[in-house]
Amino acid sequence: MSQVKVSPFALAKVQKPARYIGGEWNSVVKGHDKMNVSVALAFPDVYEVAMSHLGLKILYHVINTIPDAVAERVYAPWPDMERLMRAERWPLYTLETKRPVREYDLFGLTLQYEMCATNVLNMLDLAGIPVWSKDRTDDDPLVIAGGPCVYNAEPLAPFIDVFFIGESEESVVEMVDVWREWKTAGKPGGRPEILARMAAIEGNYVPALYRDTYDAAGHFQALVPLSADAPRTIHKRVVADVESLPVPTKPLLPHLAPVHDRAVLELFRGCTRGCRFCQAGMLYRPIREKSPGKLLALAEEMIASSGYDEISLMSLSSADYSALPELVDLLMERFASQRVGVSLPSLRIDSFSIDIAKKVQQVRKSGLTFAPEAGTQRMRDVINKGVAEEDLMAACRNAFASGWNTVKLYFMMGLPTETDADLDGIADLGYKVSDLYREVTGRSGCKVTVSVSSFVPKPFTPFQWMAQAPVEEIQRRQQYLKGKIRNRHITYRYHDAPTSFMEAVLARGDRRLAPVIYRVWQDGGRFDGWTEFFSFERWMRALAAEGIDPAYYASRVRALDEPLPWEHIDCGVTRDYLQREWRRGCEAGLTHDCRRLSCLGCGVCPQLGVRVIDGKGGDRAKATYIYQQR
Amino acid sequence: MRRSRLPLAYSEGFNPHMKVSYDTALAVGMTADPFYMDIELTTALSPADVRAQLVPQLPTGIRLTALAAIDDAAPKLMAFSNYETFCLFGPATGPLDGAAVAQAWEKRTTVPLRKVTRKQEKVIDARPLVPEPLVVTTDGTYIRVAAGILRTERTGLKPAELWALLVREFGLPAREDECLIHRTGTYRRDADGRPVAPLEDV
Repeated sequence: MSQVKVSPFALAKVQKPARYIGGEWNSVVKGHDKMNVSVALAFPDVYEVAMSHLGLKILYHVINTIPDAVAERVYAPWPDMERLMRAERWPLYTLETKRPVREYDLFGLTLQYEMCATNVLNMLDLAGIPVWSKDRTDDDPLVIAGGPCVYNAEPLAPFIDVFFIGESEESVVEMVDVWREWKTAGKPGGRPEILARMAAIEGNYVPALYRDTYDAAGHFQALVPLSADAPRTIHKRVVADVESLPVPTKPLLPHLAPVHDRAVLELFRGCTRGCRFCQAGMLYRPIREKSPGKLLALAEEMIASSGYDEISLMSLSSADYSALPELVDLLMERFASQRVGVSLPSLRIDSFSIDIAKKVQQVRKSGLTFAPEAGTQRMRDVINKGVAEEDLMAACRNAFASGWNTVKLYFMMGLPTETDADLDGIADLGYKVSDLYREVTGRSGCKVTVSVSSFVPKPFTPFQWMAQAPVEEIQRRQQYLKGKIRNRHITYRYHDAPTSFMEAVLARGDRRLAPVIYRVWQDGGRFDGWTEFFSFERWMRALAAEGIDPAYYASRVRALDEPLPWEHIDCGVTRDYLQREWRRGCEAGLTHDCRRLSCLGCGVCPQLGVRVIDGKGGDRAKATYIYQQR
Repeated sequence: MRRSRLPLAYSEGFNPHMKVSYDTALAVGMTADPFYMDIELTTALSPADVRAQLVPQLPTGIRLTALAAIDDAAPKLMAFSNYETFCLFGPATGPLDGAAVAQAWEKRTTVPLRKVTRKQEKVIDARPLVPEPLVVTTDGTYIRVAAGILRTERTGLKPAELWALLVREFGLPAREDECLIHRTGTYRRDADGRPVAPLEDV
């Protein structure tokens, strides 16, 4: 096994050299010579972002628990480190043993954000692995990827050998078994054979086994399987019961302060509130909770092995955990003497959530964050965000009376049917919250942040057929809203519209975008998710060179019967259901949360053989069905 | 320290923090042996018990080399120490006459050093901040400079600045920007110039 000799003299010249040294508390070092399967797990962003991500830590734990398998970590080197690596000819290496990624059996990446695409190519190249899948030989690692972006994997399809769709705790073990069997048999059939075997694992999509086709007008038509090994539809993997899932109870302690640095307790998976803009809500259903007893046991192990002084209760909507008050009481009682606090990353917009927040945050040192998402009730109904203005005001009243003076409000613009009146509503809410503080406390001085992102209609959401608002229109709306907010207590922030546009292009694109990504990378594109590195001109040059109009992907309304490049993937939610939700949304009709009420026929439970697991069953319907349009 | 489950003392108030004081901070990339740390406990434990609880929780690269109970009234480490010794080393770019470099430094009564920050530019005299003779050696591959630097309230000389001065003005055959710094001691120099280590009188 070789090792990259990283000179400390050279490393001392880059920013934050601690990003590249490994040796973190709880990192796992196993002797590679005794291993049958080695996996380099990659997060294509910088150390501080990567070390906050729970998913990769779960896979790290699962693989390292297998006696003859080893997983080590690798993250995207910052540009100064990349320059040094290329100058010194240091190949990309893993942190634990400094082994070159090229020497691993598998190179696994998590794709959390579309704009990390160029980092993926850069890491492949730095590792010495051919960037295009078709150029890899039997000596190259198998390049695999998972995460939310794989639900539309097509723009990256020619670069990745296998996509893992859905929850991978179980499929990654199957992957190790398949690899071990093939390797110990002498790798019969070479790369084509292992790809076929990987395709046989449920939830795996092997792009090389499909050809993308287009009609005469150039619209996507179908992904045609090229072999009998390629299923026509790939069904996502979902773990039916999360209670017994492997959980990394020995958190890796980063050398540098990451974006999130605390023990993370995943309360449940899935969310069925049905917000129509939310891709995660569609991809990760149904809701499956862990029990409070299990969570307490996990927390005890995590705190003992790490020394963290804060536990974050994480999920898509933590305030919806059915036993939240009881869990918070259990945790606070158990850990009070150790001075371990509890934090909730997000709050539901109601007063009840504030009561929980009061309990956990003894010192009102940080602000509270709410996500109304839209400025008017009509707009909130369109997106099915079941929040009324009275709820927000009641929550803020409770918060201000309890000592908080900082509130952050998240919104989106560019939502379907949106008008300037809805933008006025955003400003109005900001002012109302600020005025409420004075009313409650008798003082001014509340800090309100209004943060507005540009909506990207994502695959597998009811809005996937709509067009994203053009860049110029988003920019107009951003400036319009800026003109409406003129209060020194209210800070208005908005996202870069061109970046959101490119995000939409990649999220809604097909395989023809792969050469564009390649050009951008060759032209120096890196860390495109970072404002200081993103270059809209670079992307537009690459698109023009490939003869592609990006508005075709981002700004075009898709016909309801148009084939979509991601529909060979089945997330469990049917097209019919999404279209019904699209129609309802356009009429501002509401859809209830099926967690404790009747089934709405989205299709996930009956199709994937799973069910809602909720601590307080209540009126949850026993019968589920699949909605079908006539 | 939290993992060790030692009975750590915390400050009062809304935002309690552990009552720990540290040796002078190390710049990024610097190493130190020893590095001192005071921790206050709520319950008296023997050094052996503290060692037994703390050592298994120490991360890679940190060793416990000495442990002693000190008086409650002992001054903070940062207030105690005013002198640090270092080993600076870097790749050699040519042959070295270590004695000549050391003597050239020793002969000088002043060595101006221009320090530029965002807010100001000033010139300090580096020479009096290095009261003891330098020891400059090589093994053929690396150059090593052993030096002690006084720490004063007003002016400061960073070890990397000393290295750069030696390269620029005293013929040290090395590169200014290729130097690793290892702190070998933290002391208080008494009136006679004798360095006293923190645990020496304990």
